[in-house]
Amino acid sequence: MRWLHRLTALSFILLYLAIAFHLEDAVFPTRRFDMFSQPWGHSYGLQLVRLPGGEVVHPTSLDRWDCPTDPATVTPPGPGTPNDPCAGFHVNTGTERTVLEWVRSHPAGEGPPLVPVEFFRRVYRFPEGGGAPTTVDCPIMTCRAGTRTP
Amino acid sequence: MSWDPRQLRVWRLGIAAVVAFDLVRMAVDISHLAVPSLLPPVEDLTYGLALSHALVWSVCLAGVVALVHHARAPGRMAGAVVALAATALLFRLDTYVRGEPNESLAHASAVLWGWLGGTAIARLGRWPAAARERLAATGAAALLGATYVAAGAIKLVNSGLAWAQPIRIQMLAVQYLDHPHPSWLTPLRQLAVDAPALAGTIAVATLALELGGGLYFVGPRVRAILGTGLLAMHLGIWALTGILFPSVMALLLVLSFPWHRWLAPPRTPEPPEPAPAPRVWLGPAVCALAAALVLLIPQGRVDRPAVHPFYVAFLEGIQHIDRPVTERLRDGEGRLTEHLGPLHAGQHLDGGWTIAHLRVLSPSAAINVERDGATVQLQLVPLPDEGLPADAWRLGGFYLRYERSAVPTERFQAAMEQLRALLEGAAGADPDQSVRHWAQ
Repeated sequence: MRWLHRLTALSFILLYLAIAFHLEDAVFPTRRFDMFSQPWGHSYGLQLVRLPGGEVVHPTSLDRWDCPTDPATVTPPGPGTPNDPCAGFHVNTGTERTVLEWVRSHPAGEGPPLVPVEFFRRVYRFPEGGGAPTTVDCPIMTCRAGTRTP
Repeated sequence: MSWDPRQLRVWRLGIAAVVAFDLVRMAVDISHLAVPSLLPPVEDLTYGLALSHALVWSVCLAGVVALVHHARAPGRMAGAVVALAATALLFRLDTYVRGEPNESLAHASAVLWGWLGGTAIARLGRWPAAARERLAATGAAALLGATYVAAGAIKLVNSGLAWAQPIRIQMLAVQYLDHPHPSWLTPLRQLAVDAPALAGTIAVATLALELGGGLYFVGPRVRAILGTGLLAMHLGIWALTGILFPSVMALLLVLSFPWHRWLAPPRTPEPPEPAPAPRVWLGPAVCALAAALVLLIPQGRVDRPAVHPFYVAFLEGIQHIDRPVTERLRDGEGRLTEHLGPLHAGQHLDGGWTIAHLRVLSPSAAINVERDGATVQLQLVPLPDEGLPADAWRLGGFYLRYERSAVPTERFQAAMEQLRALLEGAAGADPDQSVRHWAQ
């Protein structure tokens, strides 16, 4: 009896895979679950802020901003030259938009004096053969920022 | 394969509860997201159905009532059939209003399909009543495992064994490092970014557990081991990305462990295994026939992102078929590059799209654009011998095409127009030479 159950189970699995892969997710609930299955690049840029003392924090930890240009106009730098460490890297569009919207929607207003901060992208590059990433900080712009409570 | 009747009851109730949970969350999603001004037009009834809250909730209610019937009537099939029809309809509407499928909704329905399939085979084979639900449970376990095998197999199909390299997990962790905001999980994600040994272990374990899911039906011990591992994997996915799969985690919790023994001591000895059933060949034969029929359907008939199935890859391996470049690009062949002429990885495009990655298969190239997890592949390929396809955009001896996907064309039309303008602007007087130079 056990062998029959196993043979039936195996045939169920093969049928599921045949439908999912051949009909390419067209028949619910057979799916290939391909999230994160594609190869990704080797680089990634993360928006951060450096305070005057050198401490690095996330932009959303500051809730008063005064920048020389509208954050909505910030885009990743162009392709540049092949060896430019601050060109040609991946970003998460949603995360970038959230951060830039945070900066835009938190103007300086009233409060303690603002301090100059460096708004930058930390670009992680992972070596082809594996290993720990190298990082380089690529400036976006210098703003003045602070918090509503000292 | 020993099954305690109390265990079968736990499974029946557990599966019904999780499918009911999925039905309700789909109905909630659709009700919240179906806004007329945001829905792209489609040619069938989907648009109207998605906007009718009364209909969506009626389908949900019908599905839940059917599941209650299913849970209370062992060996019957009608409840599961109605519930699965309800989940299929709501999944279609949910995919439409979201703009992409929420794949975490598929596991529980697959398990219920397995249960229904096992019951159907046992009834068709005139199995003794006591044996029917055992085969149903075997089918459910098999299809839960199959969902993981599919997830593991697609990683190998799309990325090969390279998926098991540390960089895959490192890149995943770095994307979610501060996403959406820094949290107490950030240091853990930073550790996965900085420690290739840890990232590599996670990658290998993920592949092993997913592919090993095919053994989930084998027996209670294997189920407990695999279930524990898969639950740990889901916790790991949540820790690294914040993405939670509540339904399948609940299923793993219910189906992987002997709750019937832990929660209540046995009152009677377990019943003996039923005698061998008649028509033992029926299950595998029906599945083989169904699989053969599925494989006869031409792939072009379905409008979904195309990925080369491994059985065709196998045939090509032994027959050396020369595949078209569009298929090879679609299947991830070629070399990843950071730049392609005026384009570069990470570049923002109109409509909120970003170039996720660029790949060259000289003299052709693939441009994968993504937005909020949805991906569309655009291809810059030589003109085919039969001439320029309808509505394609030409650049010298090349043209820009896109791989059909679940994402409606309207959603990335603006990004595609922008790509056209960028490529055209950079191509200059000799576009053929430019494209060949970019795609070297």
